[in-house]
Amino acid sequence: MNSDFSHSSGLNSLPAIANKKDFEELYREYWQRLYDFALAKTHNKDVAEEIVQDLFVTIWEKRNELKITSIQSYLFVSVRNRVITYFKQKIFADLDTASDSVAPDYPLFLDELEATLQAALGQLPQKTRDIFLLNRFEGKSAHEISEKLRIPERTVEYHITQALRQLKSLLRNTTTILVAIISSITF
Amino acid sequence: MSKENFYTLLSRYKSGKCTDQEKRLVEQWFAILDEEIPERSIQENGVLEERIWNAIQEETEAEKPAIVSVFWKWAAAAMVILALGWGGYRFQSVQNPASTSSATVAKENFYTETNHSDVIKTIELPDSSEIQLSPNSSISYEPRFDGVRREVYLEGKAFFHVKRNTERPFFVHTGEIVTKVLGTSFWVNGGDHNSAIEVSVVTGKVSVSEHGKANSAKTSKIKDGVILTANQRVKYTTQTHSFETGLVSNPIPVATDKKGKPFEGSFVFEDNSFSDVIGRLEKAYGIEIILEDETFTGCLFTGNITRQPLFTKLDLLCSSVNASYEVRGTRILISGKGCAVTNLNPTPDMR
Repeated sequence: MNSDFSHSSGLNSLPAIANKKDFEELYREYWQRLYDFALAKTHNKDVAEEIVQDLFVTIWEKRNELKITSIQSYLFVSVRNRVITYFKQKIFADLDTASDSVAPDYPLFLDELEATLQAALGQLPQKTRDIFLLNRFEGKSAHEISEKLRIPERTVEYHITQALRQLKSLLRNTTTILVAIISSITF
Repeated sequence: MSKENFYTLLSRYKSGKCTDQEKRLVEQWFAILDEEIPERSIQENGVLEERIWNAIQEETEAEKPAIVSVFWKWAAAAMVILALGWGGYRFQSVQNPASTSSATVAKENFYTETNHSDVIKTIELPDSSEIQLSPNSSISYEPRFDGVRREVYLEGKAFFHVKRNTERPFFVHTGEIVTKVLGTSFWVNGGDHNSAIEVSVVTGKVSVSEHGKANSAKTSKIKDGVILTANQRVKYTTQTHSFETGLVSNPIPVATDKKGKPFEGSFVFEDNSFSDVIGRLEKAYGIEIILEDETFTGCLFTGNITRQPLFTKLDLLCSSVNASYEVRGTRILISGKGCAVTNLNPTPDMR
């Protein structure tokens, strides 16, 4: 699962940004997919806008250092990291206290979360789950997945729709507190 | 509590030091976050594309991160000086409160206490909350103080130590803004009503918003106000109806031990990873610190930085790894090139 992804992948050689024109082209080509990706995850237009804006500002500031083989995966990984930071900050603001240590029930919490997610994702057929994660976690489009896995695009779309439908009903029926947290921080 | 655990999980994931299980859990959680995206018309899409592009343009034309950082430090320092120097101002707005504020209209039957002296005056409210009222400032409240909401009206500057009572929220009205207290201690500094109002939080959490929505300007990105936690401050500019958040000039540790006493742990490190050190600071001060690059994972830090103020700690830490930090809003961003990985076998420890 996700074996082709790593944080350092694709930072070797470049189509680096030489000037404002390259930069604008990059923006025009990707902004919408990145924005939609951020919006689908954060459910907040202002945040999604800020994430895209902040990402491109960072790219411009670091344009001389950036050496990117796969600009696209870099962009999506960056958005994903920013979305996770957003949630981290959101939960942080919601905490009553800040404690210096890992809570004693943390391992238990991990097990519960694992069980909840397994209850949902584990019920999906392997192929559906793999396609779903490629699409939802790595931000790959149905078209890209179809090329990668050499299966028709329509099949990919079918798997994604199936996954979403099954997950919705499964998560709705799960009464674990974890679902409550997951949904309470994603309102 | 699960929320804290979830926070721990995301922190560990972000620091790049987590187990395979933790990594997988975050990835799966992230995958199911999706919600339907509302349809946009071609026009809406175009507007959005240009708006984001313009914002990017604006920021990339004036690319001066170093100056931003200096500005913020300076702004924070200036705030304290203003706050200290404020007592010397002639206080003129008591008799002529802001007419725009509905709050001041209702003040007629209120009990008002004004500090005419030149020293801070301590006032205890009926609910045993404590107010340290600065010179030339005044505070009013309903004499019985037994409503569903505890409400006080401040002119000038005061430090509040509010008795926690979740059933009766505590509100401070200052000019055009309302500070809602969620059990805590904090400063409110409203000058005369032409100037800015500042709220700085020492402990706990408050929310600051405008009185009436009718007055709120569309230019402000934050429409309904802001939530502040310890070591954060907000400056409200009356003219533009805008909130600007930042950090207080000298953040103090906020973490408490089990008895609720302030955290007095030491910051002594010996070959600790840079991200661990930052994680300790983050938790102790309740301030989010972002490492711009994951390459910091390879950096190690040794030293005792217990006695230094937070910003000095950061200066020392950053200089040890050739990085720099800047305060961006209520967060601190550390950027640099990181270190070569010296530890080739980073076993994730669960502490």
